[in-house]
Amino acid sequence: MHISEGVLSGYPLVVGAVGAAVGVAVGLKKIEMNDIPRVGIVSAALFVASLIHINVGPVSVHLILNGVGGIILGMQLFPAYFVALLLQVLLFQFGGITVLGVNICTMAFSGVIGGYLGRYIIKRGIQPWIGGAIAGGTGVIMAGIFTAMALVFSGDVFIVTAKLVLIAHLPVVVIESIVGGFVIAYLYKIMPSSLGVCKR
Amino acid sequence: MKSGLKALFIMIALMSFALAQPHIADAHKLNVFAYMEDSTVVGEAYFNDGSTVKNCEVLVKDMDGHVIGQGNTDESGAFSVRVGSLEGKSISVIVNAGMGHVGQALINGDALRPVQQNVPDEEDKLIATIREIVHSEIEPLRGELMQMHRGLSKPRFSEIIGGIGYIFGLVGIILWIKERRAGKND
Repeated sequence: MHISEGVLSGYPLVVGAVGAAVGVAVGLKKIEMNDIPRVGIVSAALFVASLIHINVGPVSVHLILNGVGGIILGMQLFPAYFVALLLQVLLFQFGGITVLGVNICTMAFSGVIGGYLGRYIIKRGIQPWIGGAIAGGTGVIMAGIFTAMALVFSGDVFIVTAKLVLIAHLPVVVIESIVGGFVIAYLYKIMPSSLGVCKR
Repeated sequence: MKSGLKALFIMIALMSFALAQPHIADAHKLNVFAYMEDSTVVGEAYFNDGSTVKNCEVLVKDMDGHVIGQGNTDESGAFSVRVGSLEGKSISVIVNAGMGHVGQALINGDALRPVQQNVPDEEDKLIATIREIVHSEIEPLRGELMQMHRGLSKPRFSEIIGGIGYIFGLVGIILWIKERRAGKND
């Protein structure tokens, strides 16, 4: 769901850059010494996930993992995405420097929303895999909606674009929910402290 | 740090599972490959994973941003747009696949040879024949070039691993700095 360089007009670019800067600053503030390796590992996972395509029937899709990252990191997802997306720009020219802020916002903010939703569900004592699945699915859906919102400013019609983006990512929503469910259930079992749902 | 090791193990397991997939690519980047054929821009558009960009708008603009030609890609991602005489001007070819995916290619005006005017009929025929022969001769080369372009645009395994290395290195540096700061404060 990366937006290419030169698509967006100035307004969404500025909003995205400011939003990303605030998000990264808040996220960095929340990072304690012990969190650093965790943020790094999630960042590496985000970086790799969107580079790997898996063929599902006729379409090839890739994981996004923003919802899962959101459960594990919360607001710290912003710095993690900043590093991952910056490297994708520098190494592969995916997205671009000027749209970096917008891409961080769409991916990280949606992941944080999905993550907090997932945490809330797990805290209520519902099965952790359900929380993971909902976080994964919500992350992708919200990312699609945010991407469509950013594109509206460059002349696309919101409903049409949102529909297109969401339909294109429907298989991803399903896969992301399944993967999210498995990952979170497993992490909850072996190291619940990593999910930010219970105090250490 | 036992839990940290476990997390690392899971990540490595996940990555090795993911990297074992035969299809490593990405659809984020839209690539455009274009060249001039007489007064027509011919080319192909494709995503990084090799899938073609079907039925999408193609715009040809001059350097001042004026649209001088317009067309669409077909089912195989190929397009041809008539633009008329360029007189050595550079142009850019822009393919828009929607949803924020846009690709661009530049055609340098200096590389274009001007179409000769006012030549006798016989010579004209000869030139046309030569052009045809040259065209058919370099056709396979173009195909090969195209494939190379596609190959280059895919993220390579070593680059992906390199990216992970950068991130882990960054974590190390930050930890080191924080450790030093913590040490100084004590």
